[in-house]
Amino acid sequence: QTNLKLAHAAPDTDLQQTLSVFFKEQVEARTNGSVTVTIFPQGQLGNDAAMIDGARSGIIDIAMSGLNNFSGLVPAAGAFELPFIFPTREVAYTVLDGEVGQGIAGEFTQHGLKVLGFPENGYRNMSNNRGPIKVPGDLAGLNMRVNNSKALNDMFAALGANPLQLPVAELYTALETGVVDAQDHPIGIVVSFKFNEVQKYLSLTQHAYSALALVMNDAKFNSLTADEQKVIVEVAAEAIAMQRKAVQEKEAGMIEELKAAGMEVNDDVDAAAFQASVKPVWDGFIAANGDAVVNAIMAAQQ
Amino acid sequence: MTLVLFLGVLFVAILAGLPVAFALLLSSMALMVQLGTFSPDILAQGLINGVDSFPLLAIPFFLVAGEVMSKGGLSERIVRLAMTLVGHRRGGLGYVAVLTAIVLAGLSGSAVADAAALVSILYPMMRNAGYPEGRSLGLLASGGIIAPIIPPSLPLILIGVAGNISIAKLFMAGIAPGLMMGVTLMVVWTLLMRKEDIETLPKASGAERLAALKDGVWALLLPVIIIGGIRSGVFTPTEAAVVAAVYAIVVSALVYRTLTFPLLFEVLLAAGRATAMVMFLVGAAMVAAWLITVAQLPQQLATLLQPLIDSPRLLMLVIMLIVLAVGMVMDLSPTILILVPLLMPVVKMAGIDPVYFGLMFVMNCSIGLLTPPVGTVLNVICGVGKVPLSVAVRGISPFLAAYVALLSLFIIFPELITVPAKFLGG
Amino acid sequence: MDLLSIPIWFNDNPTAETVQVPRRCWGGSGRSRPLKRLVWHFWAVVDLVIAILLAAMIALVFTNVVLRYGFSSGIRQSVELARLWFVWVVMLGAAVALRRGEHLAVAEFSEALFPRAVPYLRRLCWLVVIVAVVMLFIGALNQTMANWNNISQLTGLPSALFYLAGVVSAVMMCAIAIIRLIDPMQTGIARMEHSE
Ligand code: NA
Ligand code: NA
Repeated sequence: QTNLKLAHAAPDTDLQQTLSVFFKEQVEARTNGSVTVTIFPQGQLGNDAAMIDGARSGIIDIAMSGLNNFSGLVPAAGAFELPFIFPTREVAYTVLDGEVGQGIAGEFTQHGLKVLGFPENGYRNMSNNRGPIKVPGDLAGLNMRVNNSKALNDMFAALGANPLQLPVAELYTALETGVVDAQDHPIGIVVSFKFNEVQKYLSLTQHAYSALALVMNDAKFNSLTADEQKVIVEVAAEAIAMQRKAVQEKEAGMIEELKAAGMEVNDDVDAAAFQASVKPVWDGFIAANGDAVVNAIMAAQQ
Repeated sequence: MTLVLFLGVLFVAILAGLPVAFALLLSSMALMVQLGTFSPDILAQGLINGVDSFPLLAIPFFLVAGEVMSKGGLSERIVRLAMTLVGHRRGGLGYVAVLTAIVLAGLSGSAVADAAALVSILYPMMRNAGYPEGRSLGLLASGGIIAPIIPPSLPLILIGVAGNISIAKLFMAGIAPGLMMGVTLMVVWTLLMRKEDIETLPKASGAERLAALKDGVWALLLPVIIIGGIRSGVFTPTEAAVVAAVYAIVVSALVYRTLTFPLLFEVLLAAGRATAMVMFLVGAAMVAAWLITVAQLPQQLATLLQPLIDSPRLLMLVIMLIVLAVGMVMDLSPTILILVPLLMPVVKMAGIDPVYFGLMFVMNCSIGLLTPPVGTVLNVICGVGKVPLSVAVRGISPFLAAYVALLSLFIIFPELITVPAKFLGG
Repeated sequence: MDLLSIPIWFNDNPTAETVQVPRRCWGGSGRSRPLKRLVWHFWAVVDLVIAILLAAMIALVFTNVVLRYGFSSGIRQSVELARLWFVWVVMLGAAVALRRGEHLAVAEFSEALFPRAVPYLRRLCWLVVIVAVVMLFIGALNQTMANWNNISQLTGLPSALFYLAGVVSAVMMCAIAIIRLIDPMQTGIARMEHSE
């Protein structure tokens, strides 16, 4: 009889919770209750960094967090977050589930983590209060809240915006009062944090693919029986496939929802111009981490 | 059952004299044993990650601002200004006290600091002018607890972090009830002073008022900067604290010329120590909160309070009675840190507005600072005013009763808080 | 005398040096002379570090506000660095507070109800403190080692530095607690006995 603590930071209306519930139900059913799962959503067991530290030391068994949050431990994983590296979701899935993704997953083991797979947060899109973003020039001078990813900070700096650090918990108020004018997140987060209430324009820039990592404490995984391990790996794969599909299905609906709520949404984005402008970000990443992963990703796309 | 274990260990340890932070760690260890996961990693990670919070940086910053202002003579200037405005009325020094309390509340975030400032400046004057000492101290102490309600407020920041409530919204929601507390005190004071016959100050001339205003304008500007700056998006509430600190340092160093380098060092050190004391408690509370979550204690509490979930007002009343009782024996920050993570899920389930709840909770805990046997503001006024506890308690009682009445009014009509909050918060 | 003056507290405690409140049951110091000097210097350095870190936090966060509002730019590292310094201020300060007896505690009950048991209760309390800080030490050390290669993208610093504050603080607090365990009624513990 094993109980696993599964933690994520998304609200319980998010698809991360849907994934977690599917995982819990299926694992419990297929192990005949020898493995049970307790879900702790909404960052109840800590923010992303705390959840990752917790999963590594074993005080949390399974954690789900943005892949970006692992790039301190596994710098090569940062390649997946490079702007415009995945032209389509299918490419992202192929790469993440294929050899390149497995190679990166192998590096997690050194840090005490077993990767169960890469669910998705979706493509990041920009929102702001000034106007639609169609060409790189539209970003000039925007005070843009950015997460702790170096690639994204570099990207917004290269595009002439002013990337600013702010905890996501303070973001709604900061957008409301105007401390910052703009933010970038996948659609699901815009909806669950209600950023549409304080942001007028949503531009479907799809400037970065944002993967999640579902990780388990490696020692805990190895302590399970072979059958239980098999169930966990299988269920995780099914849960991730289910969640990815749901993200795509839900996204269109959410965009309609945001439009209905009064957001002006534009998808006429000059992707080629953006790609050209962010070239230095790629160069910067390659200079710091080598070009192996980037080349492998490009090769896998052929 | 687990709930009883947690609270039992906590209170026995506190009563045995163990510092509250370590009592929280001990009851966390008890939960670990109960859950079968005794692990130093839980303690260390909870403690460090609990402290590692950007919004809570406001605590040292507001503390620095408060220290600089008290050492730089800003509060004295505000008293002088208030005296020229209302000193000539019957019971005039009482109105001066309330007016000063409200303005100080807009400068500082701490009830104890404000109460101490009010008592040390105004109490000698009131006593010499023949005001009854108990009543005077009671008024000053009650004025002090307006500080955590009107922004900036350290307890509101703390509850914002502990309960995941928008700090900016809490700040805006605090302005109206804070002013209402001031009005309540004035009304009670007027009633109390009807029978007293005390000489008043001569009415100040327009020129005197203008001079006092000119001298105090730098201090008066600070609340405007803090509230205006947050509202207009110049800075976040966290950054408002740093702006307040820098402003206070600049004004007292360059305008009033009271701040020296060694004094600044002393101020930083005092603020750093006070911060550490509070934040170590926060970290310990986060360890407890982690284990409370894993042990599913909120669910146990929710089951207990289940019958009340459908009637938010009744639930609010029960919670407020619990907090009032806890506030008798416990200080403000541990009460927030221990009870809010437990109660927040239930409050949300009942559909109570989190901002309203947060504000009511802080107001209730602040009232607890005035109630015996353990009331820190009470202790301070006894210490500074050099009167026995019984005199202070008797002096406070009418104001305390009025505050409890105001709190009840807010339970019956939450709109008194939520409507102005909406208006000010946009 | 200076060591006994109570600093401004934020909500739970007396403020202003003029307030003479009975000291709680935790604090004081008294050792043989040369060692005492060394210890005194050590804590003076800790004080200095706390003040410098706090000043640096103010400067950094304020500069960031000015840069953003006035010049539409910012310091990328500011949030993370300020948080790191904050953690160090708190963890160092927690040890200072333990030494000076400034952690919030309620001594009134035990002293009023079982005055004779107080020395034993104190020992028991210090024992709890030792257990807690030993756990802090082990856990924080584990995390420091585990995160030595966990490099922040924005600052280039290992996230181990956050946990290192816990390690250092735990060592300091453990030393204080052991000394107090041996002599729980030391200076500053007996109330109103200002003999520093
Ligand atoms: Na205030
Ligand atoms: Na009380």
